[in-house]
Amino acid sequence: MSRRAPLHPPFEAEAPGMEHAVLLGQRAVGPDLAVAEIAAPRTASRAQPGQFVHLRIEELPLRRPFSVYHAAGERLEILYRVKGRGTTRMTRWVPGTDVDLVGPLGHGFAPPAPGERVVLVGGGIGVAPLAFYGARYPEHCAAIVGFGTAAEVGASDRLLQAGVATLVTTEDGSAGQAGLVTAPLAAQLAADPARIDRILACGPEPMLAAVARLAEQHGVACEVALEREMACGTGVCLGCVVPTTDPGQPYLRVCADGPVVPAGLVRW
Amino acid sequence: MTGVDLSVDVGGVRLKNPVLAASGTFGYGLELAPLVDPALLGGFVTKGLTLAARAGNAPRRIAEAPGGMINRIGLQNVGLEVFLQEKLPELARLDTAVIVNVSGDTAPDYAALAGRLDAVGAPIAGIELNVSCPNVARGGREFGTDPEVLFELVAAARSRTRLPLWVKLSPAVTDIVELAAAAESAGADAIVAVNTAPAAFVEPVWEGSRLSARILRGGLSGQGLKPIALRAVADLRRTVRLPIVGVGGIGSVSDVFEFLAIGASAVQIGTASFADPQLLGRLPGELAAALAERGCASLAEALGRDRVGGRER
Ligand SMILES: Cc1cc2nc3c(=O)[nH]c(=O)nc-3n(C[C@H](O)[C@H](O)[C@H](O)COP(=O)(O)OP(=O)(O)OC[C@H]3O[C@@H](n4cnc5c(N)ncnc54)[C@H](O)[C@@H]3O)c2cc1C
Ligand SMILES: Cc1cc2nc3c(=O)[nH]c(=O)nc-3n(C[C@H](O)[C@H](O)[C@H](O)COP(=O)(O)O)c2cc1C
Ligand code: FES
Repeated sequence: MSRRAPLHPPFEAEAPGMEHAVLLGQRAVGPDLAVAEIAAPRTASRAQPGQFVHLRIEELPLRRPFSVYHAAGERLEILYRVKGRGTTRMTRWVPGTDVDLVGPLGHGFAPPAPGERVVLVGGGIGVAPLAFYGARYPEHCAAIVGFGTAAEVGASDRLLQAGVATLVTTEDGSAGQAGLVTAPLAAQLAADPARIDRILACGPEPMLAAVARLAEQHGVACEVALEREMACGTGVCLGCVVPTTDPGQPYLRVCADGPVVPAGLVRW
Repeated sequence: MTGVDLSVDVGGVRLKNPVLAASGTFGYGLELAPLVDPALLGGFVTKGLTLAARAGNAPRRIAEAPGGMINRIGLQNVGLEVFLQEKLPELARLDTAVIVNVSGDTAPDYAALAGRLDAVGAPIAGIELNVSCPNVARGGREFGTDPEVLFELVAAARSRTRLPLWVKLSPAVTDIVELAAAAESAGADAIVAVNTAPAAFVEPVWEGSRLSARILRGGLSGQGLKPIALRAVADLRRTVRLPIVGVGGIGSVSDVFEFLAIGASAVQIGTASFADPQLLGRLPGELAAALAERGCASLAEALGRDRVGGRER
């Protein structure tokens, strides 16, 4: 399906490359949550918030996609939750381990317009790309981030360090406001939707759908960062598609058309 | 480079080296240009093309499997007209052989595609028929499972084109040799073996004490397919005179030599490129270096001039 209108505004995405990077270290930021710190000068200098890297993990047949959590100088960080075969192997990486990465891949969030007020809404590990955005454009951002429990809040360390005003929610009420991120977002939108120019969201799909609905109800622009199983990560295999609301383009590729897309384009 | 001549002729397609990208894993040739220079390849096969555009299957479409992956993309593609108008002009700029992979619901679909591509000619170096598609006229049984049906299909396409015609077979058939023979007598110029093998990815789902499953039915590709592909090529080589293109699980130069040794004239690589996007660009050089080390001036020398390749001991 050839796309009729460009999905993204002119975006300075640079061609992806392969980089033979090196693990600098890892820090635990919660139960089964870690940040891998990687020396990857090429990727770190080019990555835009919302873009991802594709990591080769030992003998595994497919690479694993991870959002860029932080990039400064030669240093790149990814925030990950230990989930299955790949991420379990990653926990065993020690400083000096070679990291074979392809990146930066995909389209990120649009940079803020002058004076634009952006609210970042993250659920769990979905905080990763938003923390990068917040750190790059702190004066434009406020954040609402939700976790299961207090022990996981460390996964937003880069966001908090960036000085972005951040409201935390936990499902069990052990830190911040009890409940889901959508409650404070709905309250803020109801109080004064004109105070928010754009919402950027990343997290579990039900959360994204709920945020997209709220944004639409209040007429606020919204971009979401999607996740899908990937094989190539570069737009050729057509494995990572999600259905759209555009009959001219029934599916979009998360890896190449996304991972960040206008929320209204996704058929939830 | 080593100066070893890697060129090979595969059923009328002249390749500068025997390393091709497999259909569905290299897009339309340009998407991966930042990672692999298409000019390094012997050629590549485009994503399966149908007469009308297809949206493809509803997700989920892929899952990792031991030694590879399972896909059910469902032939999502832009359709013949958009391909000719938008993709082909770009392909013309690539310094590599372009093979167009085609699929259809009926034999006349294949014939129509072959006819249109024939009329276009350059830069199309050849046509690859994907016959692992449901035959609408026969209740959805794949074309490539019945020698008579396959004969008619290949003959129909053959009657509409002088371009080299490659026929790509499934490994999930009773007798691949019989099918290749049917394709040969219908006028095919080469056999491509193999397409993905039927497979499933299963996630058990518990609702309380009740067990059920989420299942993804698709085609297995990658390393896990290699022994099956090697067997197919070896069996074909014994009886079929057409050149054979080996495909399935190739991920290194030693894998390439396994296929060449058993009788393939060229190879295609798909899934391994996902983990290692630079593999395709590296293989021709590695192949040349290995041949030079053996004192070969050309690939043809290693394969033997009397035949397309492959000596069993
Ligand atoms: C664009 C993008 C950005 C992501 N960013 C992050 C991030 O910043 N931090 C983080 O922890 N996770 C992130 N993920 C999810 C991450 O890719 C998966 O958690 C990871 O692949 C799991 O690998 P595994 O081998 O441990 O799990 P397994 O379950 O063993 O993986 C099996 C297969 O399923 C795929 N898979 C499993 N879960 C997911 C998922 N949620 N999304 C996509 N593929 C999946 C794997 O890649 C692999 O191919 C992102 C996914 C995408 C698509
Ligand atoms: C994502 C994906 C898409 C594919 N699409 C096609 C296709 O459109 N037409 C076709 O004939 N084969 C298609 N194939 C099969 C490959 O061309 C190849 O035969 C198979 O993957 C085995 O090779 P490999 O193990 O090197 O991947 C596809 C394979 C994959 C993994
Ligand atoms: S992962 Fe291959 S197209 Fe997106």
